[in-house]
Amino acid sequence: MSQNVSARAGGDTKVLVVEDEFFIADELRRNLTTAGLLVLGPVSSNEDALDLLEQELPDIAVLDVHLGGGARVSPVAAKLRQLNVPFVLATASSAHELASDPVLAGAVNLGKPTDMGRLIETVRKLVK
Amino acid sequence: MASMLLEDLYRLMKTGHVQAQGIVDTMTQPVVVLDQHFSVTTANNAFIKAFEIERDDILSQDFFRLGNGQWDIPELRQLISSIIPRAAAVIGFEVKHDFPTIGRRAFLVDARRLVHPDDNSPNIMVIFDDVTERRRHDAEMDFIVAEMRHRLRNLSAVVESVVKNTRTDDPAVARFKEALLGRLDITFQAQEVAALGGVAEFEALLRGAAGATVSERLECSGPSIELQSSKVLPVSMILHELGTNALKHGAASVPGGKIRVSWGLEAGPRDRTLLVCQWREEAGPRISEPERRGYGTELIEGLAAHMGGSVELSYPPSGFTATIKIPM
Repeated sequence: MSQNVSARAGGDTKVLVVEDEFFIADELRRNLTTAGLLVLGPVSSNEDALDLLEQELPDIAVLDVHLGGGARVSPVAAKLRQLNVPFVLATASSAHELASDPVLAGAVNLGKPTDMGRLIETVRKLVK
Repeated sequence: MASMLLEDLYRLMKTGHVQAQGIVDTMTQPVVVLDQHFSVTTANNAFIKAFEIERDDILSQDFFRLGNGQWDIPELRQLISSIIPRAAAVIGFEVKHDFPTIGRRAFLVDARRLVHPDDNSPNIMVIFDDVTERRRHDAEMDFIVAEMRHRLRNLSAVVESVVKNTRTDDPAVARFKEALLGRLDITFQAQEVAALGGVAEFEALLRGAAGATVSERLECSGPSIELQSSKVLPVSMILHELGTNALKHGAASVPGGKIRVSWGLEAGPRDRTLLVCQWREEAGPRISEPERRGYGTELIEGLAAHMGGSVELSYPPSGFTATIKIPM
């Protein structure tokens, strides 16, 4: 799955992007890549994200919550917690809805539409 | 669930009336047992409570005459009387009725003939499931969904109108505007299909996404395939980009040009089924590979990759072809 890695010279920090809407995923990819980060994915489903995690460990992840067909990103978030990989959410879901999911509760949500400047700042801060 | 209860109860009823009364009383749904003349032989506490009646007032009474004939509902009478000659059970028959004491209610009625081993006079057990609240909730949800759909459609129209009304004299900006409107339109159409919670039939999607002018040039062959709603936007967008290119530079840009589109399902890696679609332009202008990869090409490839699929675009002089593979 090497085509899933948008390589860029000098990008040391690897960011997994899980987002089912192509245009939003592509916007995230372009902004993160331009900021000098290495994007893993973007992938559009839990299955593809978990497959990717088997191959490569990111430093941080940016997750959408609703992945279409009623799927939520919780399995990937749980796996990331287990692997000790921090993540931020970029979702239109309400704080109330997120609080009801123990895996997602307490995670930073940058909202949707997402302020790309704030996203990159947050990603850098969490990776340190 | 109701039918499970009914089966269990049916078995127990055969073993004796006393026991059955106890069982019937523990049920949360209203239950009544009638003899062959439709007189009430048993009514459980839930029945007494739900219909606000006294037990003594109904035992041995004709069910259809109870409470000034409030049970004499044509559908219910039809249901119960038709069970007597046949041994069939009827499950989940919906009855809506205005009851004098409790108002308008919707019930799912289960009814079954019971044959007692000691005598062959059949009894009829009738179970009522009050679905008034459930139906009200469903109707409310339908209303909210319809309202949201309306607002979404309205918002789409407003967004497109804002773009259209943003005037420009610059031809480059005008071309940008046209491309943007085309893509917005596909996005909104796909959202609507997804909002209807539905699947989309591939050929209908193809013809809609390619646009009316290009659609006239299409020669389609392939089985009826339904795409799940999450694939509707990316697949429509790919087909829209192919259609737009054909109209600008390809077979749909000259009279007599044809586009043959064929598709089918194939087994793919990791036990996935692939939708494989061939787009072949014929009798169009002579073409050559574009010198610069445009955004349209980038978009087509990006969309396919994001779905875990692939595209191959080729530019032989005789006409553009594309092979698209998408996991279902």
